[in-house]
Amino acid sequence: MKNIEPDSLRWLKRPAVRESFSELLAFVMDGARTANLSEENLWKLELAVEELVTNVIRHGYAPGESASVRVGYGVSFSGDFSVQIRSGGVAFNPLLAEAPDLTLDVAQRGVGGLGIHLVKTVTDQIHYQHEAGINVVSFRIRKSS
Amino acid sequence: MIEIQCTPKDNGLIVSVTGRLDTATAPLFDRKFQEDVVGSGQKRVVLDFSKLVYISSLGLSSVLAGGKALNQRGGELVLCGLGGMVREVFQLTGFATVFKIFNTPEAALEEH
Repeated sequence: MKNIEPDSLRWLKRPAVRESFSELLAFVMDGARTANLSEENLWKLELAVEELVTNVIRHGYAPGESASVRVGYGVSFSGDFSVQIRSGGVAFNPLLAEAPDLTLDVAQRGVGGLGIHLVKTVTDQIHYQHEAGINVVSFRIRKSS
Repeated sequence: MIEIQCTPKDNGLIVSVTGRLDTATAPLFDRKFQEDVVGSGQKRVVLDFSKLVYISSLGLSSVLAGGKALNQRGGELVLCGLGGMVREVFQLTGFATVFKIFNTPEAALEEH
């Protein structure tokens, strides 16, 4: 897959703290509504952005480390909605989280890896790269899906 | 963003959740569930999700924690009224087989 050029996306940069989450999510969702995504694609997008951004906020930085997260989106000619999430901190590929065992009962079932499992399920062409000290997660929501 | 209403019945407790169960609202859900549901001592609890429009993995974690807390006290958590994306998320994560799921609160209490 070709990398998405950051310049072709619209970006919002905020401190990587809990308080930034709502604004970052609203930024992407407003763009998605303007792009006329279907109801189904809207919730898939929201789920993916929520999981990935909260992941950065919760795990991406050491306590006290001042840091930011950038979220960008764009719409391709074919109508696919592209998202990129960029953050500093230690190199961390969230896509490598161990897959949850989906067959266990209430007592045995844990929640580790659940969010990332969901993200992988609802997105297309998701990938991670670490470039020049920045963690970059990119994905698409296909227009037809 | 989220509203949680508990309705005691003869054979159990119905907990209606309206709105969204996500990063922003899960902490409130957890607190209410601990205080009003686990704290009530009721062993038969039905989570009515017919007015829940969105759930994320953090919301699922809360539901699972609630189920475990009731289990440890010899109770059981069952669900009803799942629709739209909530139903899909339960299916995608296998949670649809972790919990017993019914169409209505009445059916859930009867079967309990």
